[in-house]
Amino acid sequence: MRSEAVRVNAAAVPARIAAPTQVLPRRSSIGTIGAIARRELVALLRAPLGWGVAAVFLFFASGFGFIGTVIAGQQASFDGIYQVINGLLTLALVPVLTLRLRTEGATRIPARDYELVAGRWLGAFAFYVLLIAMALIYVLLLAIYVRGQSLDFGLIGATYVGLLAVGAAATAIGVLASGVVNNRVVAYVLGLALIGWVWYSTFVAGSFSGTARIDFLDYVSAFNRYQSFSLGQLTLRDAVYFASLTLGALVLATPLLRSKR
Amino acid sequence: MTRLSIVVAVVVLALLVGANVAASRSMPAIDVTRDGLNTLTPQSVGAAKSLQSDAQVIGLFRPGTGNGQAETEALIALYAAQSPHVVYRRENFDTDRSDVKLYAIKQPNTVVIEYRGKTEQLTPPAQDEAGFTAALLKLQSGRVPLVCWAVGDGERGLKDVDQGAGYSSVADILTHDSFATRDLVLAQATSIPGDCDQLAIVDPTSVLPTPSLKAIDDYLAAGGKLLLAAEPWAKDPKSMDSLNAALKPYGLAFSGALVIETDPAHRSSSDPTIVAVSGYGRSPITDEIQGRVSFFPLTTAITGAPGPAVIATPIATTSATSYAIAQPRSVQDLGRKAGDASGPFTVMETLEQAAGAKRTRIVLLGTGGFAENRTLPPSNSDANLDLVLASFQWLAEQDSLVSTPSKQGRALPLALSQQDQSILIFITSVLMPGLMVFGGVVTWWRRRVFS
Repeated sequence: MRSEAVRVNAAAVPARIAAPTQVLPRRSSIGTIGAIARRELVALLRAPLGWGVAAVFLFFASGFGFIGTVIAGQQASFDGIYQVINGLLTLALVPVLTLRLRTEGATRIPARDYELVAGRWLGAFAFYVLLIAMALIYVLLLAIYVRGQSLDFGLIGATYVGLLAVGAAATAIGVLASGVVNNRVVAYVLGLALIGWVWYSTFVAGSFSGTARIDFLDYVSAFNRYQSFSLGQLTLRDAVYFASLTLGALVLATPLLRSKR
Repeated sequence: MTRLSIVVAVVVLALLVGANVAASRSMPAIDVTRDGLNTLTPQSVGAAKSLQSDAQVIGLFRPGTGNGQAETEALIALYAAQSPHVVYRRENFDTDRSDVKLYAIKQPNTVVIEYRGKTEQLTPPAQDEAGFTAALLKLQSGRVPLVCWAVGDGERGLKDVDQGAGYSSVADILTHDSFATRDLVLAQATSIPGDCDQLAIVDPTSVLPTPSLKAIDDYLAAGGKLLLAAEPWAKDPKSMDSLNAALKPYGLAFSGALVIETDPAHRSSSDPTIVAVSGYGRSPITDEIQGRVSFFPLTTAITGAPGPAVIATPIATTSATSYAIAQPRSVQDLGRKAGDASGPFTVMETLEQAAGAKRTRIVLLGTGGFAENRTLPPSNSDANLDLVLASFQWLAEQDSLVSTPSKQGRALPLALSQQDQSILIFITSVLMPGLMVFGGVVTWWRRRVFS
């Protein structure tokens, strides 16, 4: 793709922001998204917050997911670790990651709205990927200790695809929540509530009467859509669902960001 | 917000909803598990496709995680994909009192299958492929094979829950797979009841009376089915003679000698009296367990030449380096001596012979330990379980069920020593989170210093 140089019109920049005087390279959209994502990822890695999230995640994954399931149960099962990833990391920690992506400072970045939203989502999602990649250490350890048996890497791979899909959607919802309000606490609670509702909607389905309503709540429940991956299946329906959830949240976040800018 | 961005968002969202509606109506899925955990066996596919009218499947689950609902519904979906007659309905166990009362459901997370006015219930342990297929076939056939279990002559009993030598696991398997069982006092029997689809005589320790032998002989001659297990070094040698008398028309016998396996690849690593088998003779019984290791603890050999009308199939044999000790010796004195018989030995064999319009079928086992509780899950792998279940199914002439294997679970069993556990706890709970905390502290310190 061809890069072009754009001279920033200093007069058009709000007075409270220092007007850039240099010529900024105008990148392609993908380049811009990548640059923003890199910036967000590096910022998370350079902040104690990112390391704190990683430490909390590993502590719970080890304590509840590994020791509680594998060692206490004497079985090479990753179900406990996956539950920690979905129940703690995705539900409670992803909104923390996306907090710093809130719209503060958005006006200072020379990028289109969708580039900004996509870049910030990609940065947070990349951090999520790093976190669940660390959980591969458990796979490595069990591969060593199953002795004479071999792990079902097809099952593990499918579950990881599911975790990536869930993480992508949750991060997008977090970006959306952080775009709705500026207050950090409110943004966190909103993100938590949205992700929690999407994940657990199937469990409130029983409170309703009417087959259509129950079927709808069952379908939109990410918990249900994730199950096929955890059983070792790659299902078109569930892949479309998570892709839609991710894209839909990002599309909704874009006009919200525009209104703030 | 500009009008254009709102319009774009609405259009994209509408497209996404449309994509989901379209995708939810199709179920293309790829099973990527090594053992095909999400792929039905041909027998299960056949059971689903042979449904002639709707089979209403009702899942009565208690909402919450860990209720097995996802796994069970995924399995039902596999059957539904094979037949439009598999119709699934989910209900809340706690609120749907009408179904709970109608089907007399006793525990949550139960699945009911109703077909042509008959019902089968599957509790959580039975909600696997073998359980579903067995239930579907049972509903379609309406037949529940009756296993008459010989008692009263020192045989292993189905009600014995001893974790070692008990046979209660076999009772559970038979119940789970739609068999009925009934105790039969063989010593008092002058004939085998006509409703006995098969007779099981496992490890009797006393002599079977002559009238009982005559009853067995008549039963088999009329196309009866028999599972017969013996033991080496019988306390009463005449008990072995009486068992062999029952087998005489078919040309085979139990040797009574204890088989010792010397080949490490064909025995338990800790005990040469526990024969391990992974290569089996070709039979419907063994179709699905080739390559899987089953154990025959304290077994004797099956000897003799079958009669010309008998189709004999050795199922499990020992290695050529095994030997058999005829007379009892101490456990410390099991080394090979002159006079010991040389292997290989057959330790499990099936016999089949035409009996008019029927077929006589016999399964011979050189050990009663083959299906005792300590040899079956959860104490051991499921190869013995599959073999014993397939044997009962073959005897019941449910050949379509014989090859429905129980699949390996998603979690492998581990045997972690105390040292292993300590290492793993240190790495996962101390080292890994500790490194993250250290990284965070360094990051915080650098920011503080450089700012």
